[in-house]
Amino acid sequence: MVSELGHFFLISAFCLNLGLIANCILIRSALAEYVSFFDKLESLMLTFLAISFSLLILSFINSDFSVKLVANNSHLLKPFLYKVAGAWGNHEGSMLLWVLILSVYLFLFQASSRDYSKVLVRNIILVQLSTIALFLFYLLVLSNPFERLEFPPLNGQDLNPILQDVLLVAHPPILYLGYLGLSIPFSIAVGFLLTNDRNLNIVSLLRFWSLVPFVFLTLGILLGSIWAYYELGWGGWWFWDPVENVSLLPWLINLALIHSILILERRNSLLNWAILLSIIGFSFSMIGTFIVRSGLITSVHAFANDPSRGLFILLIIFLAIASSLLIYITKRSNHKNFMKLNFASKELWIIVQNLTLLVIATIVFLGTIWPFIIEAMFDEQVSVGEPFYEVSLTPFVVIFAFMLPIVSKIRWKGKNFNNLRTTIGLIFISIALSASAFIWKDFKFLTFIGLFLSSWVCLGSILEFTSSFKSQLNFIDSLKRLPVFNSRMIGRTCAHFGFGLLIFGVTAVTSWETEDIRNVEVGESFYVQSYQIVFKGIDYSVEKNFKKVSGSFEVLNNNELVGTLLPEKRLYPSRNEVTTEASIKPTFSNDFYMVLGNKIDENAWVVRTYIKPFISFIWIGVILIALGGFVSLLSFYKYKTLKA
Amino acid sequence: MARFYYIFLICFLASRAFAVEPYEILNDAKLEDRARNLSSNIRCLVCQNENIDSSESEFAKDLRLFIREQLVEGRTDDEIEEFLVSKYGTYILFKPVFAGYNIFLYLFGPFIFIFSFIVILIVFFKSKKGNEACDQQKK
Repeated sequence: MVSELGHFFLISAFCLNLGLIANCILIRSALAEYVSFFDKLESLMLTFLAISFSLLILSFINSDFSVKLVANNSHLLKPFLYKVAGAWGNHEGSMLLWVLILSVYLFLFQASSRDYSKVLVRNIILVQLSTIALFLFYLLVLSNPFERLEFPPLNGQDLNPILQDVLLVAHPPILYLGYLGLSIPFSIAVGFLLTNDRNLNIVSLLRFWSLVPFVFLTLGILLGSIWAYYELGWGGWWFWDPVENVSLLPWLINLALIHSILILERRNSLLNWAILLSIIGFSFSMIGTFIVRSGLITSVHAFANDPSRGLFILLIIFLAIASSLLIYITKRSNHKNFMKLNFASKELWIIVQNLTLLVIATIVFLGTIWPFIIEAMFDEQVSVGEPFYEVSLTPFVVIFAFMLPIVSKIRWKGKNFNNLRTTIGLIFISIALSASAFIWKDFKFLTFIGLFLSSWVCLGSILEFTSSFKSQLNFIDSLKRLPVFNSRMIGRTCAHFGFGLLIFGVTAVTSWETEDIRNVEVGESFYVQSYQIVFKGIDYSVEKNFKKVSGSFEVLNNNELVGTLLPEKRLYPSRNEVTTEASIKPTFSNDFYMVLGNKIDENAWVVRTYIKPFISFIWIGVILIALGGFVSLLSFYKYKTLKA
Repeated sequence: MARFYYIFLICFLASRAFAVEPYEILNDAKLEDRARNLSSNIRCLVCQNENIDSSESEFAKDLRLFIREQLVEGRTDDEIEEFLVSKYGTYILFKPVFAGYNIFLYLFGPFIFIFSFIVILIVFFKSKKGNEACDQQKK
């Protein structure tokens, strides 16, 4: 009954959605009372979808194996949390979540933008509703999550054990909040093009709604990366897996969008460019879903290996992208308004930065689809993996990072580079700083470049922050205008500084990682770098849904205990799979990472130990980037309260 | 596809994370470094997007041992890669060889960058000229 109700609500939501679209198209000059009724209908649709999704979760909690989805993805012995998460750990459920989040964004957008031009808001809502309709249609026709089984099994097939992890419970919803948040800039862009009034100002709308998905997308990618780091067993944190690449693509485009909006805001120029980026951003979100879900790629993310579904998703996406691009081509403003660009102006160099980001995205995208292109055209198979991306992306990342402090310091409409003297001076300090690292380590050119860039970006952002209140006339005045009260300034510094830390972490880990693989007997001790590691013992135990073997190791530095490592191997009987659980002891400068390998004999085991220097800087850097976006968002709050 | 998925499951899940075994490691640190470097570019053909260095499949293990044998015998990195390509096809290399249609893959990004950069500069100078003309007219 629960499942039929869920299905019923899903269908009702679809009908409501169609009705709302018809409303949007047919009734252009809506009366005030009518609009408020319309608003209620939209929240009703959201409620229906929310109920439908809750009912799906309920089926998972109840372990109702007569529902096909539950039977395929749940198990009686599974802990409660993973039963709930099972609802989105599969294709159909995650598509339902996809539609639900789309309508949550629709609701939020509508709630927050009552004072904009009515026609514009209606058009934006219309675009968003149409997107929802496409995916709802797909959900109902080809991937109904509430499908029943004629002969329900006694127990389910369980969720893939390596996916049973707290981080992965949060990873998909947060990533989806990012992916689908991009639907709002997309709808704003297309809605704006559909509105024939070119004098409407959509800058702050775009800025707000491009920052929201930025925060979630960054955090979502981070969660996936941290999960890969501790779960996949050798401490890699980015694999250039196609699935990771497609999550990076909308992020890069979104980043370019956020920065191009700055030009739009200051110079009222490049509107078409920002609109195009908004369209491309969400298009990449959808293409990502297609690549992940179509079965083109087999990976932990590929839930659906059904060609008909893939084809259908492709059709939907093609429809959405092609129609929005068509609208863009026919409706964009042809007003040729060259803004005055000086060679030393921020505008020009932000455009170049934008270009660099786009080139990085192009390379990642081309690398991801290259194997498919070659197979289709020449019937040959090629692989494109990490070594390729390292070679072809590094130059552009270096260009990007090197330009960052300069571009962010340079003046709007600047006529000369005079205010850059201190910033240029920082180059020498950064060179000195990064060179000093090689007193302890062997010199490597790329390591040097990485260290230089990270200190250059970090110092540059700090300098900019401090100099922003030096220019004021007197002390009291400068206190009043302290950047502490300027959330956009803090957000920018925070994000740029985080990017510097990220470069440092990446450089340190790739250059100075230590690996040690050996057979160790219980009671034996060995040295990795200057750390002594003692194998204390091995322990067997049985948990609720798995059995495990865990080793116990102590890490000592000059006879002082740094930490205890407890790497595990688990056997999940429900799927008859063995997984390894790495044990990690993070400290400020090093992560100790240990994996238990095969058993050699009664007492001896293969043990793999990694010392990963400064890997925490990667996480902290990315968190700061997300935090920067969040702090920037606060400026809208202040703006509103000031207005009131 | 389903069969491939099972191979992947067996390889990827059942036995991840105990890739290189202690006895495989060469005593000569330089050769071992080269072996690692080579392995990171070679795809485990039965796995999902993994190089043979981090894969535990029998296939990857055989290749790791093979590479080390060849290195000890004094072959160069290029010779070993060429041999592997002749045996398993270009699919085995994570970094496509810079030849034939792959040149497009490598040069497309830089080309776009340089091309657009020139376009931006042209627009920049055009706008400058246009603006100057405007200014003069005003005067």
